[in-house]
Amino acid sequence: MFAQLNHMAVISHQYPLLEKFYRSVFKFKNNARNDGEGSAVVGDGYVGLNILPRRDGYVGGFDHFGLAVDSIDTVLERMKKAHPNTKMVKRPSYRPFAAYSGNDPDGNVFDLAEKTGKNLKDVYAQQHEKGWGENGECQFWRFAIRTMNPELCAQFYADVFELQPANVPEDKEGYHLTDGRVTLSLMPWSIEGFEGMSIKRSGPDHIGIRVPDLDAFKKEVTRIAEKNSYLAPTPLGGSPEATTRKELLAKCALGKYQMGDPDGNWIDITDE
Amino acid sequence: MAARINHLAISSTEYALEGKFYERIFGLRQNTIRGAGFAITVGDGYMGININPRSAGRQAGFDHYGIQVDDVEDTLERMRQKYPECRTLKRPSNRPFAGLSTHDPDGNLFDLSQSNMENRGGIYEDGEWDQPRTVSHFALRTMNPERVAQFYMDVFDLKLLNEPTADGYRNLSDGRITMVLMPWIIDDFADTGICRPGPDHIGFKVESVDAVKEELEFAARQNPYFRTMPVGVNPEGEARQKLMQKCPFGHFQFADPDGVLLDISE
Repeated sequence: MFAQLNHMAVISHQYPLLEKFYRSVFKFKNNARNDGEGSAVVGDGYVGLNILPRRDGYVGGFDHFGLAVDSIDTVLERMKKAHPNTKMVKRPSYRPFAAYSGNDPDGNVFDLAEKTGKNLKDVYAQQHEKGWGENGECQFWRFAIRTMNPELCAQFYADVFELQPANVPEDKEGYHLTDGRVTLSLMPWSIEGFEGMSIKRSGPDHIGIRVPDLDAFKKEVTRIAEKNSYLAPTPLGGSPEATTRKELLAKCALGKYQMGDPDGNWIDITDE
Repeated sequence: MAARINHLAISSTEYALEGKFYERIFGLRQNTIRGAGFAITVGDGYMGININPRSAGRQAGFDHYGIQVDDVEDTLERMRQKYPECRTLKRPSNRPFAGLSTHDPDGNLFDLSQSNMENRGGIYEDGEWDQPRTVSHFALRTMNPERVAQFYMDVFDLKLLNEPTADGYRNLSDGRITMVLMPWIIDDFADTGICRPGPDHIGFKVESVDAVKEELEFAARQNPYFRTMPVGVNPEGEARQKLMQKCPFGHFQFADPDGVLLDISE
């Protein structure tokens, strides 16, 4: 494929704790070369999740995703030609993934790197060098965004990155595109979808992670939470509003089970 | 049409601390009649700030704002006539401000209220008072500021305070509070982390910027939980601060303990 969706980013005020959570619950690996001062990065051998310290002025939660492409020049050319209202900006060189960042027609932000680019560091370099194989257990498989114009955005990602329609059930709203392994879901943001609960602004909504065996995974989550309560997932449901939110997530999920990480970021789990 | 921008909302994992911070530094009053299990609401006699506990699936940070009108039906009719793509949703009855929620053409979310709506309560029904430190403005970064400004002028009769600048900034006022609409352009974030479009910062008018600075230092020594999140302390932070300083209304920028950007002036 021309593009690989192999970077996701979340912003957190307790970013070291989230690193522990994703490493212990999903067995993702971090990079021993992490400098201890910057963000934490964990990976599954294909996708890296940057867990960024929340800084002044930034919102907490899933923030953006990233694509490694064969040629950034080709991306730029395609963006200018077919989607002139989208833009790209060069990033500081010390970023572990992004050489450039861009935005789609709705202002959703993505990072860009060339598959052989110099900006690939940390888990991204190790994955590229194939010195780090897949762990054979859990895999990131989905990044889901709620956006004002999902059809237009889907066309953008298809035109520019050659992402292909993913095979998902017909009753699932939105547009679902794949790089062959990871699915980018573009779901409609409509205020009416938030009846009976707090309204979430448009933007990244949840991620999906594939586990080898769902029942075994649930038992492992319980074991870890009982051992260290800081690593317990955020409960979903309970009060009427929380239950409505849980139902909203379940409605748009493609997996079998939904949970929240310790920050409350939504995760859609499947074992298929 | 009389419209008052008199509601802001922050979503935070540290919502209780945030409430204390705004009470301590800006002298905002907290309504204590509501149960301890709810969001915290603080006010300056005109503006109420809801500090909501961050729930699962929600983003943290400065989240939305609210407008009170004297005739919500008239407002809805104006929206239906000129902006049918902007939809409206009735809110659960436990909200102290919002009877309805809606959005502008760029999807910026805001609450809509009418003074005699049945679900109003808390700080929003405590009456008005004067105090030395009050909210003066708030800023949004949005994809199409020109179109969004026209929406607020058409629907709420907000007044445009400036000729649009070369940067595309538009400042709208309800007579007291200014809404600063800043263009969201990815190029602006070349030297810093990229903030997605949406609410950017909250501005306060204070009797003395120096007095606030001194109080911030004193409060942090007195209670370390009141330490503010550093702003402009490394090259990326400096770039982010310079971007914020383009807002024409603030003179000193800092962040609350949760990282919400604040801008104060005299």
